Amino acid sequence: MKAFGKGIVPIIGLLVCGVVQAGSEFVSDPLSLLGQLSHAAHDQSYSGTYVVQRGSEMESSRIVHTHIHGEEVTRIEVLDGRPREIIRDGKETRCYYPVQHKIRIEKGYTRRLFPALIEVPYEQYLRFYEISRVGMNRVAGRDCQRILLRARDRQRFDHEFCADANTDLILKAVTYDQHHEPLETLLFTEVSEGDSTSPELLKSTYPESNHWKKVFFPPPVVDRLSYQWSIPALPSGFGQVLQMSIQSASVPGAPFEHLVFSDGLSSFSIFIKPLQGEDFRPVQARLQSSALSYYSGTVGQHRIVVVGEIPQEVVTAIGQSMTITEETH
Amino acid sequence: MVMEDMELERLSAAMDGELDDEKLPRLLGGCRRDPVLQESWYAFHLIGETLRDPQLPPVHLHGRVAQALKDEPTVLVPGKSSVGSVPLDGVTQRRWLAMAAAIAVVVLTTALLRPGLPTNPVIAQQEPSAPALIENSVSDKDIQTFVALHRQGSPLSEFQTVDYTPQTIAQR
Repeated sequence: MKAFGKGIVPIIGLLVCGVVQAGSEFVSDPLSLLGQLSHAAHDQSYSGTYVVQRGSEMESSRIVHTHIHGEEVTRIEVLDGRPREIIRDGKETRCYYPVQHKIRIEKGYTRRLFPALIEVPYEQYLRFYEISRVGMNRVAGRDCQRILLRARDRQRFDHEFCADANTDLILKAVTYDQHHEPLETLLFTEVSEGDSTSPELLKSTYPESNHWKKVFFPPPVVDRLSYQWSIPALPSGFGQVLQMSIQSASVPGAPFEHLVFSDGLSSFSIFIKPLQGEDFRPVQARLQSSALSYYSGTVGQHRIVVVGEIPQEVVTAIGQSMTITEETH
Repeated sequence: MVMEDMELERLSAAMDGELDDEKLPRLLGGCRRDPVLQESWYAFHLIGETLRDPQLPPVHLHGRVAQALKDEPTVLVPGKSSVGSVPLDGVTQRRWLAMAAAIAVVVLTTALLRPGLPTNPVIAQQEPSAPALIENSVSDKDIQTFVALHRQGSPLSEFQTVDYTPQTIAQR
């Protein structure tokens, strides 16, 4: 009996430790936790290099984030591929494309910039994601707390953040598919806090850009359409954040509609294009290089394309559920 | 099963001129005795001759296979599958993957592009509201255009992935 007792105690201890390590820890105040992650990204000054990996694509960027005269300013320089530079201040976000001599200016439109991935209202996350702490990790040489946002339904993917144990800054963000395989990963490879940034660093490195063509986004409003649509299979929690009409050189034919929906962590686009005799292939596919789900089909005399960071079956259901109603005068 | 795989691998290597001279007589003897190997011999030659057929439009095999392997849009993300119960080594896997890709391209090309056959035969018969499940060879340019537009419009797409494409846009 003594021998049995001596043997079983360590085994039970190991099992208990294993369960505790593998299990997740309930977050008693998830709103507060999400607020900490958001404030850490917006309120602190930091600089570093981070990597975006999506499918087989990978790109690294240099980021500087600080405050000038009380205004939050971010500068991102893309280090791989064609040069691009992004500068955001309190008024707008400008992306410089030196090869094309163009500047894309986003005003009144908040595109997320890593590591500021959590935005108000925080309640939107709690409705559709269950938040828990799932242990510690180490990223960019720092200890970080793993925080899992598990989707409450099968209409969206799970997300995991690893927040710096001392500063709450998100050092790593992963989006998982339904098989818990990483779809998209953003992570710092090195980061440092502090306000030693010179204001000069936040200016564009392209002084000649004053003469470049400026493209504003979102675009100006135009007249209403002659058709309407309904989306019965629209996943709950996804709200429309943008609707615009596009005439693209890459897509011949008449202008078409682009709708964007988001639940705060994932997004998808719906394109509605009047058919004008062009040929295309109906497709349902997972695009491994870009980690996106894709659907292309027709509804009446319109082509429907749905693409986004949501499960393939959801993208397909959205596209197949749509109806188009032509307005009669 | 293992023996068959090894024989087929030797057969493929022989056709590629990569089989050792001393192994060739044994392989040819096997071909005379084994009807499965004989069928494989004829099938492999048919594939090669079809690929070299001057009547066929150019298929740009290398580029298409490379692109297909790179992007490989896959339907509904099927789970990992294993070929039989015997694990194949890396060389064998690559050889059979290349062979399968070549067969897929040949079948697709001969079905869609051979002169005399109706153009676009499969797509034209698709029910528009029931899209086909296509594993690869989709129009990459078409898909990539909509992917780029999605990234331009989605507030959750990292700005780095927003590429500049000329277009006219207007908000509603």
